[in-house]
Amino acid sequence: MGYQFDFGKVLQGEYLELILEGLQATMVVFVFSWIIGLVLAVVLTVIRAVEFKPTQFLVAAFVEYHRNVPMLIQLFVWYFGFAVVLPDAVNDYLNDLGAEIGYAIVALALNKAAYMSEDFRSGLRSIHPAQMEAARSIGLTYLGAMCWVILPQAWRLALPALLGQTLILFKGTSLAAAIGVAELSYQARYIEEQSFRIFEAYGIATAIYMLISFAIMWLSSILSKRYELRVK
Amino acid sequence: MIEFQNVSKWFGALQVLRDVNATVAKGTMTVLCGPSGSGKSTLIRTVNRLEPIQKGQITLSGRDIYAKDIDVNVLRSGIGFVFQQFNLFPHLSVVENVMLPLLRIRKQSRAQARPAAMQMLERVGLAEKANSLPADISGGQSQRVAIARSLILKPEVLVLDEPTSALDPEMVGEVLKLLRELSADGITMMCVTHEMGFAREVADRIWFLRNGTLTFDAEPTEFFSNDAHQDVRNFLSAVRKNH
Amino acid sequence: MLEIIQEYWLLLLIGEYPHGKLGGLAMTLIISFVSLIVTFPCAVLIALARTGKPGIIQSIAYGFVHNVRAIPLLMLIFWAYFAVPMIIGFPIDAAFTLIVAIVIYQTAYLGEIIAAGITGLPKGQREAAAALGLGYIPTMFRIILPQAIFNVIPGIVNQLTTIIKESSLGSIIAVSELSYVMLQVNSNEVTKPLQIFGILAAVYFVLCFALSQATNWLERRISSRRTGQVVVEAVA
Repeated sequence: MGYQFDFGKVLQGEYLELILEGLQATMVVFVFSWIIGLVLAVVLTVIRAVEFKPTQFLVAAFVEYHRNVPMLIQLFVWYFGFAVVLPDAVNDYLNDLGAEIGYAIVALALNKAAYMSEDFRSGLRSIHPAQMEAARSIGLTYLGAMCWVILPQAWRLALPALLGQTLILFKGTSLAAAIGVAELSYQARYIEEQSFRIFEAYGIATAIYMLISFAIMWLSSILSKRYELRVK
Repeated sequence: MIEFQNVSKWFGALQVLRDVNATVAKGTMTVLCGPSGSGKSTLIRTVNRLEPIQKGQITLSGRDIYAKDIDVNVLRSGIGFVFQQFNLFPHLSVVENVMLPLLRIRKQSRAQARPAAMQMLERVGLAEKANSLPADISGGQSQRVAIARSLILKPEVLVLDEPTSALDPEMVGEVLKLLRELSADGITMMCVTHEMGFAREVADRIWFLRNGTLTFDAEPTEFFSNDAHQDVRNFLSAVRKNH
Repeated sequence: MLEIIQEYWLLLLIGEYPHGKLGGLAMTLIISFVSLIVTFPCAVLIALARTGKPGIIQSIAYGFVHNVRAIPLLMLIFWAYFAVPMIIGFPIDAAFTLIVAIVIYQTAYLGEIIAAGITGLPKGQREAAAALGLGYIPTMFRIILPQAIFNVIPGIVNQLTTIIKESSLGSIIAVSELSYVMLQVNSNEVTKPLQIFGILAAVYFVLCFALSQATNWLERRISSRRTGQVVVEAVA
């Protein structure tokens, strides 16, 4: 096999610029969908905690859709499906703004909101009911007990799962390439097509993904230990 | 100080308390005993309305605890409640567990609450564990912290639901010693327990429940004498066999 | 929506077969099952290495799991798609490279699930096997693995759901599975994307929702069997 490695060719000039742009897009999608997803997850958890059947059913349906349909298809539904609902003028305007990245953020954020709300819910469920009873018998109101006793435990119990979702989300940003977002894996493929430097293009992209993944894993293990809730 | 008048309670169709009539006098220690399922835990859980009653009346210092102007949370903060399983809050350190009622109910600042909590921990002999987490202390120590937490708001009554039943045998003594001291201090207490030696020594009155009925209410000397109700004598001999 | 189903249902189910290549839902299911079946023995080996004695083999297994988890599946698929034919020197079917990528990826995840099943067993099981004089291989294959794998059956079924969803990435490298077929329908019927992707999502949903209900059912059964054993111990 006469393949000559030449990382220099990919790591300079126009190609280097494309990689950096791709990395930037990856991080934008990751950070925005993480924040939106987390906030939405809290909202969904609260809605589902209120004993009202219709809203509980709607949240459950939202969660089940996002858990049982492939992430890629959720992206397609937004990217191909949502556009036809909008008037052409709006579409043109969105496309000028770079609508792909917006659809990617929305789709990933909704998906993560579904998973993260399930993590919060199972954190809440794993707290023994006696904790609520003890808090109430001190004289705390229901809201006081939630605020000072139940929720501080619930987020700690959910934390490892939430951090796991964070890593999955980071890797999942690569799917945005399928709807044309020029993020890291999209750029890698483009460079490979332009330069025929398969190993260099994918090698560098993979290395960047791995570095950031390792950073997330490392931070996760620190945070999980730091906020671990030990119950006898 | 606490008066039960015709107190009855049902879980669905099952009646678990039947017309309980009794009084706990101020500054006394009342021990509740009886076979499991007799309703003794349910009865003491009605005192702070953890278990609602369907009939009868409970008064605390002459006031109906179900009166309209009674705020259930104020009522509860005036009654110390200790659980069999301690129920310390695992995300808070020992001293933070004791501080919590001061911070969140009395709305004190941390600077005010901490010395008071430390003093209470001193009282139960655990000042040196102040910064430990509940997961890192023994069962006996956990129960003493739970007692400190229940006393921090200076309640009128201390109610204890089998405070030593979840403990390893070697730790029962330290908790009973603390309860003896509190009793000597004149705190009004109601305690469900199977520790009959402790009851004999410390209790002012002993109540015996069976199938939700308060069948016997006497001073310890009468309770442990041969004049006691047949059910009580059967119960005591069964307890002795197990120990 | 009904017209689309009427016109394309056969394509959706089996692709262009028998006049052309097999595809659609049938292809998705074949890829998923084959991937799971090939992944399973690899995952068992990884689990054994992860739970075995500390040493070079354990380190390699740890390194494999840790590294694979750091890479997006799409990157692995790109690697398999472009690099595998280059390394072996002749072109191969895209479906095959998809399976290769999924197997590598899922071995890391399923391996950890089975390893958790092994470490979750009471220590007494190994000690009892050792006390009988069983060596490592019979202990693992006759005593530990049968129990560990039984206990993680829900996790394995759950991974099948994950694999089915992951197989949709085949559409990016033109594997004619369900998603790819529907993308092509979408480019024929330019004006009905919402209906087309709605149908696609619904097909995946029915499949995966049924499997995740099965996972829940298995979980309840298996954990009640386990708690059943605990109760017996407590009484005895």
